Amino acid sequence: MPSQTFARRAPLRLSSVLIYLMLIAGGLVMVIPFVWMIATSLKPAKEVFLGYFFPLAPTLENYALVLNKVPFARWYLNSLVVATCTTLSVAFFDSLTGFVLAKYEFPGKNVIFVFILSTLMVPTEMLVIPWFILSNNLNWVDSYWGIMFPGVITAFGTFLMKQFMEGVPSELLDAARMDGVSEFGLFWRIALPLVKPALAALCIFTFLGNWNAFLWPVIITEKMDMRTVPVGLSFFSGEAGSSWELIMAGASMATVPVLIVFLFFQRQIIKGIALTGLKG
Amino acid sequence: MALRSRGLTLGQRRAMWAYIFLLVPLTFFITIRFAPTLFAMSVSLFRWDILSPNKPWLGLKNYEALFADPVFWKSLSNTLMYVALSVPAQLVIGLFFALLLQAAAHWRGFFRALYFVPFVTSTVAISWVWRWIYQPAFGPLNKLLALLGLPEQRFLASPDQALASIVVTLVWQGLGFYVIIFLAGLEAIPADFYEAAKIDGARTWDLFRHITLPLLNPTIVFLTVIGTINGIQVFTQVLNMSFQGMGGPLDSTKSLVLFIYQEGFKSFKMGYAAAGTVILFALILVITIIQLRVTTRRVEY
Amino acid sequence: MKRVLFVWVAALVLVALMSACAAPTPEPTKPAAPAPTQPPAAAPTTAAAPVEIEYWQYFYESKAKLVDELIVEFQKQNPNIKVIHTTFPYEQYNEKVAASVPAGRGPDVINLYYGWLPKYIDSGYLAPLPEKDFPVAAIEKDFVPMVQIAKVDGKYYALPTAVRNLAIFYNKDLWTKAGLDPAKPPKTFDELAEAAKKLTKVEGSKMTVAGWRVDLSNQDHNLYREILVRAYGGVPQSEDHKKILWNATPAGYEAWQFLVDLTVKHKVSDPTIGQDGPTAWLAQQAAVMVSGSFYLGTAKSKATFNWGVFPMPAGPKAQANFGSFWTHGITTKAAKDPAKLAASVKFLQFLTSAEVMKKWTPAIGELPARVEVLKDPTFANDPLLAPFLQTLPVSYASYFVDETADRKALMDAYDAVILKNADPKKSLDEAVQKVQKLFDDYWATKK
Repeated sequence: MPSQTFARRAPLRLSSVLIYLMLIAGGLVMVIPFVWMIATSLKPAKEVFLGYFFPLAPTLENYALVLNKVPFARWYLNSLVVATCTTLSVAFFDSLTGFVLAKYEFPGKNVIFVFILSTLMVPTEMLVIPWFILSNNLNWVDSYWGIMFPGVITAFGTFLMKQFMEGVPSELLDAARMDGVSEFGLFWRIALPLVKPALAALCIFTFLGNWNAFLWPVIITEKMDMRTVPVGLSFFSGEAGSSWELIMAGASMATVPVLIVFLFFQRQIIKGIALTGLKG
Repeated sequence: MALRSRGLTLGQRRAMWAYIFLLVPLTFFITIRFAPTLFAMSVSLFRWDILSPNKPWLGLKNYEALFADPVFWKSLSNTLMYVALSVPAQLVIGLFFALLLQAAAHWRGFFRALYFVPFVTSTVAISWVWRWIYQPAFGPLNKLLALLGLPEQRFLASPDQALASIVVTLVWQGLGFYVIIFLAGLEAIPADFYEAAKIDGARTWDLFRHITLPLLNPTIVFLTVIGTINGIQVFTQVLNMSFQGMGGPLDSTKSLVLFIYQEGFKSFKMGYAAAGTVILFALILVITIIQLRVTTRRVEY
Repeated sequence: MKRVLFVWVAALVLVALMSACAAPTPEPTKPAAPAPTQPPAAAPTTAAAPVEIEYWQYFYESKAKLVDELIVEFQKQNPNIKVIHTTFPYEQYNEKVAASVPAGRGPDVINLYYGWLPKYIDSGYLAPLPEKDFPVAAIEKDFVPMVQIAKVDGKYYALPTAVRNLAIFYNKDLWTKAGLDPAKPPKTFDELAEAAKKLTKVEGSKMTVAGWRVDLSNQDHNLYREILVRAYGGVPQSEDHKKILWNATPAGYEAWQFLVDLTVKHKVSDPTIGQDGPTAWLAQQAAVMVSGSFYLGTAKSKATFNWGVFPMPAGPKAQANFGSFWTHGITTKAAKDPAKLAASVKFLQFLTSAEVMKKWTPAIGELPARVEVLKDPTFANDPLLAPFLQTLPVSYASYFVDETADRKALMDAYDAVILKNADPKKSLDEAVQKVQKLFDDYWATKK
């Protein structure tokens, strides 16, 4: 696959058209379930099982129902707080840890790295019970911290940042040290800005993962008002099936923050020539 | 914060800083991840049905039962299939589309958003639509096959095809992640390298082979390892897509984590499920270490 | 910029931590629609502070709403008791209870599916209902027989407000189109199979409408176990619940053959139709569906065609039905505290009173658990409830040791026959083996 990576001002050649065609075809496939989700959210209850893709008599009543029948706005707020705080914490701690693992030499480094990585190897479903025992003892049930704590530092992000921190030239760091920059400053002022694309990607996926988290929030929250959006939406499912039109309306509303986070951060990913830093 | 440099070499001082920085994260990992993991794994030595305070000691009996359980082995082989099929596909297709996106000069943000859309789509919507696509009676895929003169398939309803059908959905769903990480990796490659190589007369394929691919190595390592770790733990999609939601038909799609989850939370055999978790953990650890050794190459700048 | 960012990050983390310690105290649970009446200004603070008890239920909109209203009434009658009502999603209900047990946290009165009772009772989670408040003789006289499955060692551990059983939901439009009279539904299983044949539509080699889309993951496993086995003259279990008797007599094999023939011989069902039985029925891809009265609400709001319900058909030897119920029990946690125990007893008596049952049925669609309320003409005359009521006297609840695995054994056996051409008799034998082992393991652990 030829790399026209930096052909920003490429004249319109046939291969360019091909590129766009493939992108659009791929994009369409990506988008179909999303379109279905929105379409179903606009269907009156009776239409859901009719078998048509688009609503015959579109209505906004599902949105009204979701907003009025359940404390959706509150759930939204809860999800926002949890996802945002966790993302900020992860962005900071994971990058710092990744930086240390990439750029420092110390005894036990590899063991520590594998240790951290190993925390990814146990499915969270099995950790839910010990977490709950811990939370109950420390009175964290039904609190924001209770929902957040398992995710404030992640091995996933640490690993990602480590890989990208390795791309930061060591000479740069050494030069900065000689200029009197503190060790923390090396991280904060030199290395971190150089790995912005990876950091942006990390923020996107951390926010997303927290926004959509389900099992742990279900267990840790008991009060209706402390629940997050995915947990709340599960209330529309029951012994006798689910109210898909309501679930889709709620889910559609839930996409907005994630899309915003994505659109904001994805600029960082394309921020272009990042490593022009070697000045003098 | 000046530090007394007497008695500490430069290297030792830096090592000390490393430990200081690692203090908070390591404490977190030990208390929030490691300790609960030990607890969860220790449960495998008991019979524990969650509800009762009685947890009689079983020693290794849970493991004996596990290894004698045909469903466990089926889940294990299914899981390995999931990984073997989906991870390479996602790597290749993900890189392909990342390169395409890089090459596109216009509307990049728009296209990027398009490929990200599966992540903001509710998993329920995804499984619904894919199940409709695969529907033997009226689904579009069979209609397409009929148009092409090929025999219609049973997809999710067939014990032989269900797993592969779910793999396609898995790849589709995870693609955006690979694309975005690859994009970040591609962005980190300085343009100067390409310029210099082009001046030296390199062709596009050489550029790819000798610059892009090697410099993407850290990204590729990351995606392979993470992809495998996540792939071995596949759960939600199997739950949503499999026939009757139970890893069927006839356990042909059941993944290891689904097996563990059902034994633990639906049949209340927590000790048994914990034994499965220990095996799962060991499996992932071994595979990951092998992968790290084999794929990591030091990058020369 | 960096400094500002750093401060901002620190501030936000701080805020999160603070909000953790001071967990916001929202208004006491008001799920679903805004309650019609505000709870009367808390407890008229006369005597002691009110005893608080917690009631857990799985979330079902109409149930949650009704229970909130009932709690208001209960608290009026008992000003010194306050009931905190918490609900959880149906799918995760078990997980939630499972996680709270080791943490020592949980409700005082809990709503459980009767099939989970053996496990919960065994583990010491539930306390036996005090004999003086809930005399065994009275229970056996006043409540429908299926309730007795909750009796363990001569004691009752839980009591329901309402029960459900199964009936046949049918699509009247498809019925008329096939030339059948919707006013004269089949009365035996053979008649039903015949009708299903007429209702099945095939285009070329593809089935487009299934007469009866067999779905063992839904209710059809219950159909086999309790209904068909008995309908052909057998019994599913020994009296002491220790032996599985599905294949002990030819009756069980015949019943199984009937179910298998629907797909294999009569070809009125195909697993490729719809995602599951109910979805296929709602999408008019299946003419008939076995389901419970709990489905009436969904059918009313989602069906776009003329539909109705007719009573469970009879078999060659007997008429039987499968009954199930969600039941309320008192936890051992509550039983340890005399004040909470007394309050829980009062609440339970309230929930299982005839007055509450009379309100419950019209709102929820479940049938009253007390025999006297059953006789109420308003219910007997309701065309949608009557088919269920008719077979209530012969409705049996199955004794489950592990409902998930029990159901799966039958599902797998059926799939083996229709997907892999296994011999029906052998596949049933295998299913019995699997479930018998579950029961053997269960009884072995009981002292």
